[in-house]
Amino acid sequence: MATLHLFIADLAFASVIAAVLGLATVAFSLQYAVSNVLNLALGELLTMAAYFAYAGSRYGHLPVWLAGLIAILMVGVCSVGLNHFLIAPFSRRSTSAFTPMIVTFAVSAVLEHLVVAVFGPNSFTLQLGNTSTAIRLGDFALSWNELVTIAMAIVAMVLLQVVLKRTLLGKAMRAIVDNRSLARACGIRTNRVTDLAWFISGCLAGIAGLALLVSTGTGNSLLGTSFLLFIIPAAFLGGMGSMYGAMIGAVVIAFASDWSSILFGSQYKVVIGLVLLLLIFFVRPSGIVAMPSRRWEGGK
Amino acid sequence: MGRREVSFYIYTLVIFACSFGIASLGLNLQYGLTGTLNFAYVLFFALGAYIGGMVALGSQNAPIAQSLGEQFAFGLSLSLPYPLGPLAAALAGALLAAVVGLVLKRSLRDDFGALATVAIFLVAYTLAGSYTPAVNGYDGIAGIPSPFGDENTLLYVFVAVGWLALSYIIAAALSNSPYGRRMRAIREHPEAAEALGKPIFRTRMTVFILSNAMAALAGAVLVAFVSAWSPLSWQFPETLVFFSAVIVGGRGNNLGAVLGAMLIGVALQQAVLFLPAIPAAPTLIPALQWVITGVITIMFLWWRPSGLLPERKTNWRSLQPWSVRLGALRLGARSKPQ
Repeated sequence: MATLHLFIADLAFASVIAAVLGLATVAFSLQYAVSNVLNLALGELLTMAAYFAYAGSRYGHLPVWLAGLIAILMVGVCSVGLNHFLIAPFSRRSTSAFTPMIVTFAVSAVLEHLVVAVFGPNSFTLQLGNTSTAIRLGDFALSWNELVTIAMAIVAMVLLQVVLKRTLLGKAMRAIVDNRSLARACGIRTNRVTDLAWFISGCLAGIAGLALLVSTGTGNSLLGTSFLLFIIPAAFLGGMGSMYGAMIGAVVIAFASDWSSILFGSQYKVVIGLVLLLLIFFVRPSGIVAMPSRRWEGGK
Repeated sequence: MGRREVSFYIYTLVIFACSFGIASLGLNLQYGLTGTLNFAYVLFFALGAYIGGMVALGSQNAPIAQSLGEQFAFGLSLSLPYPLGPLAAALAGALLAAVVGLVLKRSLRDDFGALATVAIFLVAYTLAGSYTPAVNGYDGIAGIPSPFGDENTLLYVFVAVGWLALSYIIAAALSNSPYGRRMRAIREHPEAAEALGKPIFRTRMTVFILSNAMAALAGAVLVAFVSAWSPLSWQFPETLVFFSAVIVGGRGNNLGAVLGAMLIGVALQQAVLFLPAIPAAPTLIPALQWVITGVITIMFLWWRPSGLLPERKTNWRSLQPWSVRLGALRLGARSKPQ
């Protein structure tokens, strides 16, 4: 029964991780859906959000919420730049998906070490809000920070849903996901819409990075890279390129890894994701592509 | 600097060049020639280094790790003589490659498989660091004896060059053989190759196993010289060095892969050391090395995707045996004046 208590006590932490992971995984699969590129530099976008917020509040003397907002927008702009100047040109030129992927790999190494070069190798802490308990139900306790993180994730998801379903931009994005050349033939400015999609996914990654920083308290240059370890299985599990799938995958991976670390010890936290991922590969050798969910949400 | 230091510096450069050259040759076989994308490449390099080191470690120089009050002695306390270390490493690399390849199966060819290798690498890295009984966690293994004693470094330099030569001969023989043409066909147009009856998965798998065994061999060649190995030596971006070497040297060209390994793996690293060091930021220069490596890779991919030494196109004449080619030359000379 002691384990059950641990499960419940850890529920808050697991839901925070699920929220962060959900944001990052949706960003990852949105980028894949519109550009057909698996972006290995996504982890660095998370790291940069944390560092931008830190720099804004530490050196710019901004209030934390303003520094965070600016950081999110800056990461969105970086994401657009990444697509506009690197990924889109490489995708236009090469038919293989490998070259853009290697480019994102190189960008990830460059960004990770640029952060080290600018901010130094030491980890930093950001004092945020109050860590006092907001909600308590028996063993289950949720601090204000965790509550804000989860709320931020939910608001971001709802906003994304509204953009995708209710606006013309969302319609154009879904059209591009379905058939890029047909969308262009219908007069949609595919390049601009793709850039906007990357801006949205960059902002999502920025929120995820901030939320990760809030939940862990300290950040360093490997903050996002090490989180890629959870993003990849979550994206696989959800069926790449589907939004609800990405959310479900994130929740499953977050809770599975958290509970397996309680059951078997913390070093096995990372193993469960890989086990699930390899299981998918084993059951479906054709890859996830064959799954019916390979379209961006919103229906045809 | 005395003469001893200079010669030791040169030995270091040569051994690093040999090790990185072997690994780049392997990556050229799987990425440059067959078109398989494997972001876990440095994992096989690291495995080779661990196995090569642990086989060579004896009980008297095995480091002791303490974990929860227990003591583990690392190394298999074998003290095996030299060539067995690299051979065991290559075998282990081949076995791990076979397992990874069988799990990924047909996804070896696509970007999902490449993404899965990223996950495999990150999990293996985290486990190697956090699960101490396996390879002593982040402390790593140390005190690996020099294969021919500490006084005979020059002999080891020649042995390392020998390993590079052996790897080059294998890679060149493979890429010039009919099997090499099949590899290129699979890289260029898998569907066409399959329609002509070429077994795609088996070919990819064979090359995957062979080239990852070469990566493991390269790791063992390096670790016998540097005598210590820990997860800090094989972080995720490390794979980029080998990709960069293959791309800068020329995808599909074995000589290019070796040249790229020397330029990116050795020359760039040494050149960066000549930059003025800033005492306030000691990590700036190593970080800058990574930035330059990444930027060079992207620039080459955009402006010169075929690399410094482009892959040579096979023409009809080069497919003929030498006897026929010489005969054709003589025929040509006789028929021309008339």
